[in-house]
Amino acid sequence: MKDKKGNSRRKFLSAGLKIGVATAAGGLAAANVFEEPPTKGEKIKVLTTDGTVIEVEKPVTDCKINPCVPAKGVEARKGIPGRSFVMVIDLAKCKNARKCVESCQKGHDLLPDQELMKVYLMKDNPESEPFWFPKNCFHCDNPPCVKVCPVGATFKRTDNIVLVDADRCIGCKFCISACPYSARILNWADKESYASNDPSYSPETQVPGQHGTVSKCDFCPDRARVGKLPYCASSCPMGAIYFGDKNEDAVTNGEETLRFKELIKERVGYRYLEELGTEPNVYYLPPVNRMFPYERGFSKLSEEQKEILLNSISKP
Amino acid sequence: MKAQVKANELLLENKAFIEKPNKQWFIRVFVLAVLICIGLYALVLQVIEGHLITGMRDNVVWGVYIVNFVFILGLSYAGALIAGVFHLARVEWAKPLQRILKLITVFSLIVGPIYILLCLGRPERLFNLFLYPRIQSPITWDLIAILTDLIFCVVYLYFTYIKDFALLRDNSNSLNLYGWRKKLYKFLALGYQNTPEQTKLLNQALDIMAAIIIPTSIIAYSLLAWLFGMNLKVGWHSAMTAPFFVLSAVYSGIALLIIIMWIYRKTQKLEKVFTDNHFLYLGFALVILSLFYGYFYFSQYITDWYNLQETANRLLDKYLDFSQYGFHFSIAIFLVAFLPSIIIGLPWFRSINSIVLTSVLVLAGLWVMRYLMIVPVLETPYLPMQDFRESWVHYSATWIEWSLTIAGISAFILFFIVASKFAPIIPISEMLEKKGENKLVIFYKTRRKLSKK
Amino acid sequence: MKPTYILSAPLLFLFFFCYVPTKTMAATNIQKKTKTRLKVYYEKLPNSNKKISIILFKGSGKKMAGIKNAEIFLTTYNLEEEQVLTSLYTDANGEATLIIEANYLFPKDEHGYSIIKAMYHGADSLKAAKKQIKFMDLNIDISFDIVDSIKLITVSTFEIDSIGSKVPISGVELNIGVERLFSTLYLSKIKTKKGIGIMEFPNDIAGDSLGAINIIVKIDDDDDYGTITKSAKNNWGTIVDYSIAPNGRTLFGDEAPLWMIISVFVVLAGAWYHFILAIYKVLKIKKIEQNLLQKS
Repeated sequence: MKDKKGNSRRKFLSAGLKIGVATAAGGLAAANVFEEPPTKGEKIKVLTTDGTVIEVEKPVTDCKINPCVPAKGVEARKGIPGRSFVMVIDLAKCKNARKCVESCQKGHDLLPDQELMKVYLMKDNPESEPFWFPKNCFHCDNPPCVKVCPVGATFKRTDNIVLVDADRCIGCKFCISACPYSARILNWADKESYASNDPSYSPETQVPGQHGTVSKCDFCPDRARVGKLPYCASSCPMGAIYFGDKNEDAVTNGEETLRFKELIKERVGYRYLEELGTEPNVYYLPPVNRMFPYERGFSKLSEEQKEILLNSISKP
Repeated sequence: MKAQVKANELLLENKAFIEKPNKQWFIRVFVLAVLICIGLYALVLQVIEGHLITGMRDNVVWGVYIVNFVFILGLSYAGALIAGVFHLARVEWAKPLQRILKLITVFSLIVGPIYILLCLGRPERLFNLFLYPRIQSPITWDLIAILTDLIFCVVYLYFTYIKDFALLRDNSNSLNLYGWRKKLYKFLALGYQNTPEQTKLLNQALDIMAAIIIPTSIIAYSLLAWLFGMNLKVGWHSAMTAPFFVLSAVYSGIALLIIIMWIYRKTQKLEKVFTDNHFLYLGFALVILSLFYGYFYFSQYITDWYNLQETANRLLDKYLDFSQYGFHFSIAIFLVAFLPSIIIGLPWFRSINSIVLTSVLVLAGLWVMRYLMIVPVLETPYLPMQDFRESWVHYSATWIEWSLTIAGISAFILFFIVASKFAPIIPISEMLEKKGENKLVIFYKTRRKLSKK
Repeated sequence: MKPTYILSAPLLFLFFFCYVPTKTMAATNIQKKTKTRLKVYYEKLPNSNKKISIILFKGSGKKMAGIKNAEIFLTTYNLEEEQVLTSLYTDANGEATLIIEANYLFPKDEHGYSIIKAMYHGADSLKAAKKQIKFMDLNIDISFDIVDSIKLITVSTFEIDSIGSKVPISGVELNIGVERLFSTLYLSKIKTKKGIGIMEFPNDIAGDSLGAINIIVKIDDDDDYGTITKSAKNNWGTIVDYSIAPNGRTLFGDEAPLWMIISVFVVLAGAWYHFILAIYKVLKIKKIEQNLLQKS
């Protein structure tokens, strides 16, 4: 307790010092100098068998895979042993709420126009109803992007994940053009938060980003290590995105957990452009028995944007 | 000895072009230097502000830069290929063209790869190509091929200069030259004294180089083609890519040869060296190559036409739709596949000037065809492009890319101006060698007799 | 008539002048306190510890916001007498947690229920709140049997009475599943009869490389028993082969196929051998000149 007090006093002093400097500098806004004081509820109380109450630290993370921290360097190229990550997207549930896109951007420190997860409006044939099609990297088992990389900056791991090591990437963009699913992007613009060869960088988190290098969906293995679903799957309000481990034969959207093989078998799950032989690890459940009409997805779009989408699918 | 005397005469006849440069020469160099500097300024901007100031985006990741890269390297491989074949086949009339061809090869091999560096997001990490090479990647193949080819071609070019350097060294006192140039000629001539032994050795070396340059250039350009062919993209993923690339390269090389030949004929009054027949022969080569080009293109697109695959259809529609690439496509295909047959093939329009003009148009047309081979394909991914930002959907090059393109061309011209000042643009010694004097040496002699006498 | 109007106008003016400001002033003085609410959850953890989770918040729906740094007093009833347990502070999300160790004797009423009452005394701008829950301390035991090669999970639910003997509890709804990386894969829902529930375990549940699985039995937010989780390990899962079958023609690995390395090497060696041969011949020219000079 003493320690904590001392700490807060130091903080107070430093805040006061800052205010002093700020006012001396000429009445600058000093309000934001105050730091949020720590709350008193950061510890958990335990009522022991003999009736006394003790305080213990809150468990920081729910560690599921050892090590819990994102792998770096050579370790990041190996993959989590015994895992085989797979995603299932239920097209019947998607209404273009774009929460997956937004949370992914937030989690990966992306600019608003950089989308690792994109939501397309698709139509299979002229007679069928359009549907919304969320698309990230498919983490193919035979990835055409990895084949063409001249420096091995992008690699396939044993846990199915295809990652980019931005510290090694030379930005030749060959992988972007080699990907038939348009899953890769380049960090075209420089950003303040970007840093090259940063010690905290891990290909599993892709943070901090690097200017002029390739970025892509990473299936969030750093979150899997602490038992969390990827940003997209955990943020979908409709629970359309299921994620899991194929070796465990289970996928979950956070609400329900289903058996992967049964789900694909019964709902006739398919993989996009199966004929290319890339063997994706993202499966789609056909948009049958929809929960909403597809027009619901236009609610956030302007008329002009709506037209662009409809035009792009009207002449396939 | 007679040849030697003749060579000295020919050199002194054209000495004005290699002697100390005049004002006009410096003005030309200055103008080109300014154009290069504008390009360098654009490059600095690109490095500072990032690739966002170019027209390249996530769909069209490679734009004008890669078009230039492919086009200019094509010229280089064509130069090497044609020079090698002409040399080994001992084509007498083609002897005066040898130097221009080899200069095209080397200069475009220097200028071309710069454009791939401009494409890189992190050019300063190029050394990673050597630290972590992956042979499976076509870029690694390309790197090996371009480096090998550059070394071979520079050395080959130098070998073909040795006889002329010796000539310049021997005549340096009757030429108005700076002192350092005289010393340099003496050094570069490698003590070549035209003794039979030396001539034999040099000719053997030249034959070896010509022989290895031919496969190297074919392999190197095929590897470049596979940069596209190994991609899953519709429009690139075709077995045709490599042969078609090599053919287009030779085609563009001949067109450029005609243009450069004409320029030197006009400026250095070389009518006796670059005769009308040269234009005629190369013009006919242009006609034949244009027909081949048409044939290749036709066989590629007739198969696509019968193909009903959705993405392939979408791509073909872009070439035929006049609101998209229809104009570019129809004009370019007319220029490269039909124009030479009409202007040069038919007797009525055929003249030196019309042949040169056709070459210029063919060269431009081939550049546009390269553009059409790259940009529309990148704009046609499997998935629809549903981006609300117009620049992300349709590529259009910015002034940065154009000024760097102009800078590259300027550098190419500047190299030629400097090289033709340093030594004659025609291989004087080689030209005057008598027919049959320089016999082809067979290194790997047959052990048994081929036929019973 | 007219004079009255003339008189009333300034009076009215005066009235509004006085009245309006006093009203606004009154509003700032007697500030309306915001209503707060408490939620209390009881959960029994797999290690039999009890967990009391509390959340203090204001507003509802999207405007719901936790109140931080608030002191919550927890009490229980021991034979009609209120007994203070402890007090907790809420964290940044308005949440507070109390763990009660398994062997702590929690007081029960005559029906076997335990009571927890949470109280918040309010603050300057916040109203006080209280919430009381009651729960029954249910125990779960899991056992595994194989009868005629059918795998059976037997779950017994019971309560321990004051003298320490097990009293079976019937009609408890249990979810049975296996633990997965991100969540529990539920396989079946059963109801205990006479304190016992039996479930047939399917043969096709993936385990790890040894077939080990972790069976989870869970009661989910029951009115009487709260949330209870119990787990037990066995090796009834199918054995999963983690080794990856190599695909012969793929090129994405770190090493290039042998034929590719050989062809690159052969082509390069052939070209460079001849190149060096040519250079050797040209360098000989220089030697010949030196010989000539020496002769002369």
